[in-house]
Amino acid sequence: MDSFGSDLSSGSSSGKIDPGTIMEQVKVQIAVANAQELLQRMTDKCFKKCIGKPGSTLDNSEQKCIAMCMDRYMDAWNTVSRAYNSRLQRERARI
Amino acid sequence: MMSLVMTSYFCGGSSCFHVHACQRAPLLYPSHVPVYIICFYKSFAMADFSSSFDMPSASLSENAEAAELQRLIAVEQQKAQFQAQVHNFTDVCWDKCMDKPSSKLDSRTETCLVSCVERFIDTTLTITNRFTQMVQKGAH
Repeated sequence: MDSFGSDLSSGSSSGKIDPGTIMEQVKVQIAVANAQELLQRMTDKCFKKCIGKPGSTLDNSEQKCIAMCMDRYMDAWNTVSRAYNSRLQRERARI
Repeated sequence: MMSLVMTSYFCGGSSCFHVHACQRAPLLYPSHVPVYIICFYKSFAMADFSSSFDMPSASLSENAEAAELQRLIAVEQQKAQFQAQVHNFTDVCWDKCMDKPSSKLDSRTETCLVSCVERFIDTTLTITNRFTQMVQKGAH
């Protein structure tokens, strides 16, 4: 994360701000933050679904459950994304 | 996690006030990191570079560049807000629709997820409208 900050400051020392570089960095950071959010929520949901009484290790069934849960969560995310997108388009078409 | 991203960009100099401006607006920007990131970039794009870096005052082309940058950032902001909402919806609708994680998302679950999103939005609109009415009635 800190490397992004140093890139930005080094660009400004030359006196010219390059919009292309900034936009690239914006997009990368947003993507990273989005992935972090996804992982945080996925971990929360899959822990609740797959781990009953926490033991001393994650046994095989729990590992398989987590793997399946991750795939299902991402499928669900994509489904919700499509549904929300089509709803937004429908609402815009009405205006 | 948020402070890690923010302080690595804006430490020292006249840019510091942008940090406070974005932190003061938690109601405008939901607590979702990408939107905060955009807030900071917008502040940066609007900053008066000439005073910060001892350059001659901003020319017309630099103003046009800053305006274009603001526009592009606004586009990214919209995308980030969309994704933040998808995270929220998925969170809520997962609890409503998913029973046991299986090897595939079956059509019943998929229908449930789509309906969940639609009904959640309808609920939000219903609440907003009725609340507006209540407030207007209460004002008399």
